[in-house]
Amino acid sequence: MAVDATKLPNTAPAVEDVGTIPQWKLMVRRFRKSKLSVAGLIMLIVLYTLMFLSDFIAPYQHNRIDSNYAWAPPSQLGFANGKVVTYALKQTLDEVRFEWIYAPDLENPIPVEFFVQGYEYRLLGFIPSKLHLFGVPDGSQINLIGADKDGKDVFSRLLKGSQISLTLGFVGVLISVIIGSIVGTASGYFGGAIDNIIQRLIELLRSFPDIPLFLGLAAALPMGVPVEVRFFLITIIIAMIGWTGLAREVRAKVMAFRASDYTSAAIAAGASHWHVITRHLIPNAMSHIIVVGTLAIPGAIGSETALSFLGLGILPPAVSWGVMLRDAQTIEAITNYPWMLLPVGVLIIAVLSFYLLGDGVRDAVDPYA
Amino acid sequence: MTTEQMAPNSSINLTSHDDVVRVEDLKVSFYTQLGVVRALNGVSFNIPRGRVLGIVGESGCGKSITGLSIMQLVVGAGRTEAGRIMFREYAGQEPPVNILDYGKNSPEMRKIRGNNISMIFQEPMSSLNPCYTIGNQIEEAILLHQTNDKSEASKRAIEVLNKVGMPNPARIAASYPHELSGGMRQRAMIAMALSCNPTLLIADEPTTALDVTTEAQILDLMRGLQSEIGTSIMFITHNMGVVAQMCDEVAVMYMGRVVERATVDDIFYEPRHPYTISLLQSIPRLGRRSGKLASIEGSVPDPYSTTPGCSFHPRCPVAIKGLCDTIEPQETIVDAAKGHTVRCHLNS
Amino acid sequence: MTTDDMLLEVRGLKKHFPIRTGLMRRVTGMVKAVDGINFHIHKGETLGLVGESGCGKSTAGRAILRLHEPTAGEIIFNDPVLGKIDVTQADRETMMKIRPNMQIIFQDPFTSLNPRLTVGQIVGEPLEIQHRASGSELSDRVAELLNEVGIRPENMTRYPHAFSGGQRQRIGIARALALNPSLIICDEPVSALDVSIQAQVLNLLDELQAKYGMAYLFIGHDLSVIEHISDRVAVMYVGYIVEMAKTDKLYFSPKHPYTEALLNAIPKADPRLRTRPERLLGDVPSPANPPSGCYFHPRCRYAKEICSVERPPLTDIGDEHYVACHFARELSLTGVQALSDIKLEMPAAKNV
Repeated sequence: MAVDATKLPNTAPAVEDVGTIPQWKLMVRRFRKSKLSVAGLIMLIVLYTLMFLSDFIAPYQHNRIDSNYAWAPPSQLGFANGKVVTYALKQTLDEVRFEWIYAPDLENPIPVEFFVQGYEYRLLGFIPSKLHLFGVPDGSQINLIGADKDGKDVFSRLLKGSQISLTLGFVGVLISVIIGSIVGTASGYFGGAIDNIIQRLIELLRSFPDIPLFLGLAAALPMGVPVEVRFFLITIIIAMIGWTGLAREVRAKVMAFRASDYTSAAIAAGASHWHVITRHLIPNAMSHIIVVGTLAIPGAIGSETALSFLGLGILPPAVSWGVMLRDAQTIEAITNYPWMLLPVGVLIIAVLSFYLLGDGVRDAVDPYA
Repeated sequence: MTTEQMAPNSSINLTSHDDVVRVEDLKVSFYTQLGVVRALNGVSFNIPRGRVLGIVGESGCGKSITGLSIMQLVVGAGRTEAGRIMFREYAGQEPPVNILDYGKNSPEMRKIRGNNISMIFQEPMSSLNPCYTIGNQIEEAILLHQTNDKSEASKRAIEVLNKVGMPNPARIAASYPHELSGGMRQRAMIAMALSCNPTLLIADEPTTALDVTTEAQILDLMRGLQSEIGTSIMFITHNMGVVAQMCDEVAVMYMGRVVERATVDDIFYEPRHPYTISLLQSIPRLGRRSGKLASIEGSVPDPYSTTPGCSFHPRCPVAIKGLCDTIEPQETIVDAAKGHTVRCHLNS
Repeated sequence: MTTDDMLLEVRGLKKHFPIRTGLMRRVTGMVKAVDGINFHIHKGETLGLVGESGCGKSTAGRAILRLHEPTAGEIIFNDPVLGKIDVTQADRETMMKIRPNMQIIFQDPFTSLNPRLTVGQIVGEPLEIQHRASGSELSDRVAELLNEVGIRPENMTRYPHAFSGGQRQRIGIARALALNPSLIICDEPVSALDVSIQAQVLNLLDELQAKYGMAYLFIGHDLSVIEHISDRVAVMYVGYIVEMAKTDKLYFSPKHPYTEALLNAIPKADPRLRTRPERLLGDVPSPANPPSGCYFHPRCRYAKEICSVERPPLTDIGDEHYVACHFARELSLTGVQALSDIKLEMPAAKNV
């Protein structure tokens, strides 16, 4: 043996052996270098944490009506006797415009209690609890960001609405990722007639204009079904429309990896289709799938909001951000009760965070793109 | 200190004749996320007027960056940290200008680029615009630097295409880059580069992407044009065969330094630097089959690391412990008359 | 030479790629990448397959392994267990048994290794696929293989990105070696490497062949490298083998005008050999639309009328020298001039 391995220089750097770090860890490192994307990720963690704890944080049930507080403005907070306080509202009737005018009764502070008992709910869906982060004694009400036309607490509704708005897009994309990956991989790997049929089918699906297709499908949904079923059906609609684009991207990637030399080497050694797909194609395409998926979520969230806004998605009494925006449809509502537009702000934050995250993941996964 | 016994770098003045470009102690670094890459670590050489200088070395030795630096085309994270690039357009012109004094996008630099110094690359497709005909692109260069007369420009474009051996220059002028073969595109690139009669042509691996029969055509062409027009050429390549066929003088680069500089005969028949010798030993020699090729142990160190002493010492078969691994060798003269210099302790 | 010595016989191998256009993906033409080639490889020898880009040499190599399904022809492989088998007709099960004996090394060291797998997983993959080893036996074998190609076995847990081009190429060789093949297709294994690394890899291939006695089909475009490594050389032009002979014969007394032109075109690494021989004019024709008759005739300076009409078959003119030229026996062509014998000595270490 003329080549003596021991004589070859060991290229391992002394401090840290970069060579033993798997690729995904290198990607995590690259991701962390992008500050905006990390900010997006943190923002999303905050939003989803709030979503999971929404019943605990919300002081009221999302559809609790109190006509005494119709269009009540955001409660004013103060500090008295070492405690956080809010103030009761004095209602006066504007006799010219025939509207209630609210003014805080500064003489009459109401202490804000923390960890109070309130309505009953199941935390994370299975822990029964009555505990709420904060609340005020019965007989008065706290509306951190105002109330709507029925006196429903907007803050509580925003939290409750996030449960649908943030999960529906996510689950919808998850389903389309699964469908898209399977179909895309099959199309790219086997090629030929299978590929041809799948591609024509995708073209057919994509040639329908998005919005009318959405509307048509949503209008066909049965009206009288429980919220959970409707939620599920809308998720399916979003997934049905989303998977085609993903399948195309996965197909392109799989075709490239299929033609790569390491795949050829495996085939030359006698590898089965299953081995090639699971060992070489999927792991390499995975990072790309995650990127495309992440960047697809904001679109799906937007779709849900649009559908619900148009009255074809989630229907009251269930609440999502789109449903809430229906109450902000009129100029009157926007000018007099601007807090009704807050769901838009939260929506923008969520969507922007997903885009920032997706961009960062893409740069981390494929730094040369 | 051993360094003091050696001739200081700046005192070497081997070239009594006229140089087009003198690169002096050029240092270029790239600041990347993973660290600083010292691409050029003090490169010095001269390009004599009317001659072909070969810059030879392995990938990552800095030969392409040197070419781009002269054109001031180093982009991105690259920074010129020290050095001068003295350019003299005409023989006897006093004094030469330092290219690095001009801003990258200054009018002076734009005048030098393309007009006085032009460059051709390995992949002609990347420097030809696919949306314009070959003729348009050559005319554009001529209109920019030479004349304002459009018909004159198109006449000259066809002339220069004819000069680079295009079979039917008028038809080629009217075709788009994708309609031409790789060899034809490279000819078109050369035509474009020569359209303004540059003082210096920088050719960065112009034949590497071509097949051997096409490569031979292009090398013949460049040789022929060079002796006809008298343009100085800086020929960057990794192929020792191309060096032997094309160049009058050679600078061998390793890790951002010129380690040996000599006439082409001296490089091939009397090389002095162990790297040059190893390089020549490791190429299979046509018509001379030997059992085993001599190879250089190990590989080029990663670009982020710095090597103390002579950058070649970890792979050098004759490195001296305690000297080569601690003290960087200075450029020393082997033969002043022929301009043969070497950076090696064994030759000082 | 006995026939038992024959490891691989390729007869009339064709690989045509359809050109599809339009919505209905109608076949409007054929790229005849490999257009009826014949050659053979003896056990333990190296056959160099040389040609310019697009001549079909890589396609031919991959067709032998059925990485591209051949369009026509026979590929008779002499399997150590199964005996002579036509690879093109073998079913899945038979292929599974033949495959370990025919392996491949690739050109690009940066795309031939899966970036998600460790070096140990890469080299061990063929053994896993063929169920040859598992567990500690597998890692022992992988360590042995890595040692064999000059990579420290400790590097098993590292990923390809930690290695230089030359080291990656060694890892690729270890993978090809894992199943003890009797034939390795080397698809331009040194073309992407720097000259100093190229020599290391060529030496390694030589040593491995001396030790294990496998045959190589060495595909390349650098005639100096091909000359160095090959026992016999086949020259390809537009999907067709035009000449095949023992290396020295082919280089010093070529019989096909294309071989002559190719040899003359090599830039010789010797500044005293600056001759300006007759250059080949024009470009290589497209394999989708080749000329009539002998594909080389439009560029051939010896071409006569018959050359544009009839395609010459590859014929043996004696001593395993095959030429596809109507005038193979009449032409006197010039081969390579040996480069001057340059004595290269390292400077002697002196006392400092």
